Amino acid sequence: MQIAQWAALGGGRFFPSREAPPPSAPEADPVDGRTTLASKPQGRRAFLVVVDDSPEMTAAARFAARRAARSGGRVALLSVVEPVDGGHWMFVGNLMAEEAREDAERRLQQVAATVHACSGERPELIVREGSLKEQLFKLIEEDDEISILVLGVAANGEGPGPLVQSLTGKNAGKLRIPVTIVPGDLSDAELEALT
Amino acid sequence: MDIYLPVANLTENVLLLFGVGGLVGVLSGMFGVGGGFLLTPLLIFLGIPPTVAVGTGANQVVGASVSGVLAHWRRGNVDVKMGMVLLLGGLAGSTLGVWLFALLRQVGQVELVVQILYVVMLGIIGGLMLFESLQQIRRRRGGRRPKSRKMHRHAWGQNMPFKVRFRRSRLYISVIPPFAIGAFVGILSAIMGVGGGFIMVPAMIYLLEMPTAVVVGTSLFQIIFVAANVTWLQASANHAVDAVLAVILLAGGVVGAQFGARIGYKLNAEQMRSMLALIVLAVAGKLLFDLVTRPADLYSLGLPPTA
Repeated sequence: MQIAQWAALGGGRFFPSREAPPPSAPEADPVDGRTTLASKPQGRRAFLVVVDDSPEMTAAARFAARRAARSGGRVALLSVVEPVDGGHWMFVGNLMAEEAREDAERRLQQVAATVHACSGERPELIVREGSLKEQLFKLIEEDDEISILVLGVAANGEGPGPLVQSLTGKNAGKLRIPVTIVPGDLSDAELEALT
Repeated sequence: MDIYLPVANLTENVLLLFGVGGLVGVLSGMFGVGGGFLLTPLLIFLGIPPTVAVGTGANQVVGASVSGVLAHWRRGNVDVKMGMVLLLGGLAGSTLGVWLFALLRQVGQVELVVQILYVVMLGIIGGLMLFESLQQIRRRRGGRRPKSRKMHRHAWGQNMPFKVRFRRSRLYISVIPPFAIGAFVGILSAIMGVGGGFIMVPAMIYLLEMPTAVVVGTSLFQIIFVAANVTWLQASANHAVDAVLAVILLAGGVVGAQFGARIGYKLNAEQMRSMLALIVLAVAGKLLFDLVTRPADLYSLGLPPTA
């Protein structure tokens, strides 16, 4: 009797329910426009810009914004948080991943402001976790609206970044969309003239 | 395939030594750790005198850290200025540590101290690592995200003199706390033959409040020079570095680290980590067991070093 009562009253909680809440996917993050921006324009081709901390990336973003505004398209900004190695301690790795994600989101917001200023429209913001190249290919594969990839190259003669190198070299044939390469030192006036 | 180790003064199987270097290399490649904290006790288990195990272990740490720092350096994740302050502390601490080591040796207690320190340290590290990985596994099942850290609650060195701006770390703090942390880890490095990243990295995050992106690179950067200093001083002052042993271990370590880095990407990190934690605890247990059981030879004879 007592045991039955105990079980009825909540002894069952000792046996965790199989129906655990589904793990909260990182996509549920508010900054990730893919799931939360209700105003995502449908059916318009998107200029994809990969956001990193290089100066030439802003040139690519400004070019894409103007180009999109002129041609009735929109801009999508991708930031990829690469996996990090925390050494001995797992909490270090967790903190590193979290701070890297915060940095990526901050950068996205900054570039989004630039794009907004150039095109008058909020770009779509995408944060992905994983290897940059893999995630880029996956995103382009998944999202049919992305129709041009815009990349910047440094103007100081250091040669193209790893992404440009890989896309014009080994992985050149893998993309299903064209790539536009923007010189990093174009001024606003020059960009205006070009677009 | 036996080889005579001149400083350790014993004969060992080359393949076995190569294997030990390789095993530690796999672990360091997999987890991004220096591996000194496992290498030294493993060498002690092989019968190599603790003094030589410590001195030679420090040499291995130099190799592992050089290869580890390169990736961080390329990404600009080394705060050189902060590294220099830590390094100055580390050089002072490690020089003091080598001197302490020589003193303990003179008293004849160095082996006991090294082993006790290892039991304590490995026990704590292994326990914490196990706890951490179990917690992470549970958390992943429950689907909760880890709590985020609050920045700038009580940054140390905010109210101390000799404040310096560390641009890369976005900090303006006194050089005293980083110097002290460097010195403390330097002492450990000299006495135990480890790099000390397992203490340095949490200290940089919680005491100095450095951005996590630069902590691992910066700690590796300074460990290279501190461990080199330890190796140099242990060799010249204490005659505790066996070059033959060091070369074999390094060769094994280089091969192992390549494998480790490749496996590390493919396996479940939490489970691997709990395994590493269990290995660490097992090593601590074995050391403890050897300390408290009745030894086969009740008396050990030795000559005090005449240098």
